[in-house]
Amino acid sequence: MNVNLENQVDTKIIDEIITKHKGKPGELLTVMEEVQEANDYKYLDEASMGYISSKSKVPLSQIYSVATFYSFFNLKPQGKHTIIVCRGTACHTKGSKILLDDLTTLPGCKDAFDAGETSFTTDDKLITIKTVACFGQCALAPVVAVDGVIYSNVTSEQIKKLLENLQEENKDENIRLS
Amino acid sequence: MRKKIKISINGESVEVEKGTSILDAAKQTGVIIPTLCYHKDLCIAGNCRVCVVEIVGQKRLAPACATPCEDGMDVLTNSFKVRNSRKHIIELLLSEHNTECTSCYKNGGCELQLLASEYKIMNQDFINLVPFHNYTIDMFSPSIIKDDSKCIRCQRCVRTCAELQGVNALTMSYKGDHAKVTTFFEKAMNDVVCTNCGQCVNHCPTGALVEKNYIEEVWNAIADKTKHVVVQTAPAVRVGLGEELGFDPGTRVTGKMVAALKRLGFDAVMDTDFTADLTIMEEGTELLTRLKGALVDKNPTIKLPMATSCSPGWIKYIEHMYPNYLDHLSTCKSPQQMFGALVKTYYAKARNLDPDKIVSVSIMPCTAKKFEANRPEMHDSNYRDIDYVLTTRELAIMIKQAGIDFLKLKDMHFDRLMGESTGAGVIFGATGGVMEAALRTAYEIVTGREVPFDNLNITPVRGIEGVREASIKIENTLKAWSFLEGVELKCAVAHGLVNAKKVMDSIVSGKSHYHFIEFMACPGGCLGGGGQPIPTSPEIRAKRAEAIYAEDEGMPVRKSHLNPEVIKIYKDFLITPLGEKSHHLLHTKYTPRNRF
Amino acid sequence: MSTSYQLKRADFIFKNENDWEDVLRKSISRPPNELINELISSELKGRGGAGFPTGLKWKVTSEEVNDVKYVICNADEGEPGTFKDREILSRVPFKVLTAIAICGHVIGARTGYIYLRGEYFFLQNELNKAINEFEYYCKEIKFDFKIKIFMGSGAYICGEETALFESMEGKRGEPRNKPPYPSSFGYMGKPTVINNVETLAHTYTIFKYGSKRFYDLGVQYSRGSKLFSVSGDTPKPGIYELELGMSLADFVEEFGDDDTKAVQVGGASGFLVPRKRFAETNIGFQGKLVGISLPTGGSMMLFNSSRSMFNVLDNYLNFFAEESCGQCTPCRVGCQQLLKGIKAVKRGEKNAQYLDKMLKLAETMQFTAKCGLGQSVGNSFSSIVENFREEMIY
Repeated sequence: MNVNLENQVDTKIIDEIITKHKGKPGELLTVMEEVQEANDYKYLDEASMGYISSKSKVPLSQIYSVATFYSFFNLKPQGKHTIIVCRGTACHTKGSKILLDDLTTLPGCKDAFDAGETSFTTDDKLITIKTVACFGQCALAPVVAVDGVIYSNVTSEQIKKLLENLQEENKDENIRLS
Repeated sequence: MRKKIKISINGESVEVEKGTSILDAAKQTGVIIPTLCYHKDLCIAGNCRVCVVEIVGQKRLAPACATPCEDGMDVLTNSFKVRNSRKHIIELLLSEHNTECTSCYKNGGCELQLLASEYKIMNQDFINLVPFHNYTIDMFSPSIIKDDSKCIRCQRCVRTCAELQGVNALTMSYKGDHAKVTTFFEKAMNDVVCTNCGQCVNHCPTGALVEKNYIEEVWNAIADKTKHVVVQTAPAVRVGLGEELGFDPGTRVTGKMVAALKRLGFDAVMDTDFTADLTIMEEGTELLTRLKGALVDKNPTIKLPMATSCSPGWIKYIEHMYPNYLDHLSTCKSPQQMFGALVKTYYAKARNLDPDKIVSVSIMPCTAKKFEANRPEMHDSNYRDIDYVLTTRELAIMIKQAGIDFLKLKDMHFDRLMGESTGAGVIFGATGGVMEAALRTAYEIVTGREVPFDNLNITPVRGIEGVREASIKIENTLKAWSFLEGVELKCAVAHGLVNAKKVMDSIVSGKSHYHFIEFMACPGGCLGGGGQPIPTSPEIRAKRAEAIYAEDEGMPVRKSHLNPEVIKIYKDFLITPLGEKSHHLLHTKYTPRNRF
Repeated sequence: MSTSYQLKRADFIFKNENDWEDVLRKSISRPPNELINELISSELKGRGGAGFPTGLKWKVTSEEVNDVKYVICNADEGEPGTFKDREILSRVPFKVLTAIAICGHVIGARTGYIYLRGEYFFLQNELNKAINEFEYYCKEIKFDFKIKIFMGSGAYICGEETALFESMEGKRGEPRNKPPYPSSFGYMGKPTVINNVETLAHTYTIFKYGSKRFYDLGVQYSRGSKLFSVSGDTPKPGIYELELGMSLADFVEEFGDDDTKAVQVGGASGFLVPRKRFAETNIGFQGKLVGISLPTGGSMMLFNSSRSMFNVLDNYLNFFAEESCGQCTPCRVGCQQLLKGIKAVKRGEKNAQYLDKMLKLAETMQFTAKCGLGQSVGNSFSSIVENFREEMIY
């Protein structure tokens, strides 16, 4: 997989997004979210933030300030698949830490989390592992979200299998690509 | 008149205007409530919680700075609960602060240290949080050092950068335990829109933001017998320095300052006021030339309004924010850099010195001057024109280190050749001063008469309003300037970059019809500069301004073109304003920059 | 399981009632004062946590003179262990929309917002459909009112009302200094009523059936019913509507697994009640004996004897240390100190007396923090450390 880290969002797309939301409440947050969504790697790159700033007249530092405040904004390229583990109290009590440990077997992942990172993406940009404070699905604990779909009462076996499947799927893709 | 209400503070009844904060009301009754995130120049944050007080009947304590008095309120500022909570908060701040106080530049001047000492925090046994964070010290800027391990997140710098300066180089990023003051993407201060104005340094309560000091370098130069060390002092230093050395704000210490500099061992002590006067000659002539070019010759490449270029913070600001408007800047170097270029040429020649052996030091109320001296283009003498820039504060440190009893010093005079100044040069230190000095000279050149203001005091350009305007009708011109007959010269003055932005935006939108604008990066002009004594406040700046104008009134000569040394340098060396030598030594170019 | 205890179930919120059009039409034909009095006599208190009397909130805001006012439905349900607002919005959205519009009628607002927690993105489509239908009906009856959804971006602190306004204004969700209060200076500086989803749903009941029906439920100071999000070590996790005033012992009898060691009432910002205090603890705004205030959103998390209370507290403190906005000293630094402190005691790096110092710190945080988050960290900390001290040390 060819990963282009210089990846930025087409300024025309950003212009459209800004025009669409002009004058709406919390305009900046919505614009930032949509620009992130428009990025191939689902993150806010430096150049796009610079462009939003120059168009919206919001100082660049403030855009950065807002982007780092909310957990939905990514400042690093994200993987093709995102696995989010809930570490809310109910999930935590019901063993979400074990699930996270299963996932952090990915090379480099444990070190990143130990160093205080809240998100980790594999070098091949295939998988991103994240945690969330609480999904609000406590009755179904422990809960894991994979690409936006919420799975409940997840077991260690299931999560290992899931990880394998995501990686397998990619291998197939590589075969197809070559 | 606003409605009066009655409250009680520690049992004493006090009548205050509705809307008064508990903090201000307490001050009125002589009760001091400690603060950290509060600053008179800035909006209320209510973040640090050091100022919490007890309102009888309420379970929670209230921040005195952010809580308005209400009729009948019963406030206790020193109850058991308040004292314990306040101590806890100070302890918490100490636990996240790098308390290596003895090796800190702010040692002795740190507000947190002072609080810790007042409250005798002897058993601070909370866990030291500093090692849990990956703190960096940003030393890339030639002006400012940012040490995150000493930051207590009061956000005074962030509010300064946004509210006073409109620069927004600093911001609060992340949240919770990761919350910290950063630039965009945590780039070095030197790589972002930071103008080096140093207002953040001036408003920081701890050692998290300090000037990069060059004290040891200057001591070493003085100690080096092979070097001839020349020092110049900016106009605003003489009305600020006293505050660091035992005088009240607004005390003029010009003569003592000169005496102290001589005792420190400088070989020549001269005055930036001299090149301030010279700036008026060059910039005034440039203005008149531009007016002719634009109004008479209709040359589209000549831009009006012309903007002053003395303030290096302002220069870097316009380079970042309005890179397409650099043609509006006067090409004149700042007085500091004119002085630098002349010391290693004119002065060296006159004193028969090898410029290689000259070390040129300047004492400035400013941290941006350090950046300015470091600009690659500032080598027109074929040497680095200014070797070291010290702030007013650094000079005070040197005076203390040298064991000089400043209060007892006898006044002395600046050395000759580049030490003579006029009242016009002095007022460069206050907002509106450059404008006033320029008008005094330009008007007289054009009409042959003095400016039509009582005692030369052009009061409309003085004051504290963020943006001020003035216009002078030019009538009965001398023959050579008849093209200006009847022209109403429209001027504006802006200080504090947030106000500079307002004026620039009006230029960009085409609504501005000014001919000449003075811009100063710092509130109050240089006397409120980022290198001036700490603390600063609107009241302190007003006192310094009074002192500047008193200094002007006390000068025998108050117009730049009558400065005898200025007359002499044109006769002996420069020949004429905007001449070839001037062009080479006294004028400069600007660099467009990005907006990171 | 013994049946000697009876929990009083109620069924208002999720009751299927297809009469929102009637309720809306009838309510907006009544003068605002009458509706306010109805609310005041129902004694409904905010179901978001602080328990502020809802009628009073509407009254003060209605008295503000301003052309522009707002109603905001706080659906930023982020308290760990709470998931009832999600259910309300997905099952009975029209009750909430109707309540928002009636509030608009009462205070003089023409726009309402639902601040929807970002994690609940999956509710957005259905909710928008409901809003379209709702607005269509408003137009039909010539009632000028619009409702919009604002999606949160993932920050627990935005559940705090002034942080929520800041967030809606496109800024960092940092709580403001109070005063001024939202009733005079809320979203965009305009007078604003901000109510929790469940609170609004209850007003629907009150406007439909009259205040008496609501008032007759519950006990003194704690009128009406309340949704409880039950999770943890329980055979029947889920959402239950119960009358206020029940004893915790009754609750555990019903929901426990016969091995309940403690119940966390009110999520991370609430209190942990140990078994020995179940009988004397009442769930309501003013507890009979222990004085336990009703939890934020009614999260009830049960822990059985296999659970380590140290781990639970560690989990809470991690959460607070991260989710604090980081503005004020007591919350930003205090949370880190409590978190690092319990670990240090556990590892033997600090002695057991250090727990007492931290208890005092937790109290200072309660007195001095800028907003409800920092003020309530001490609740779980103190109740866990005081009741399970030995688990903190060994």
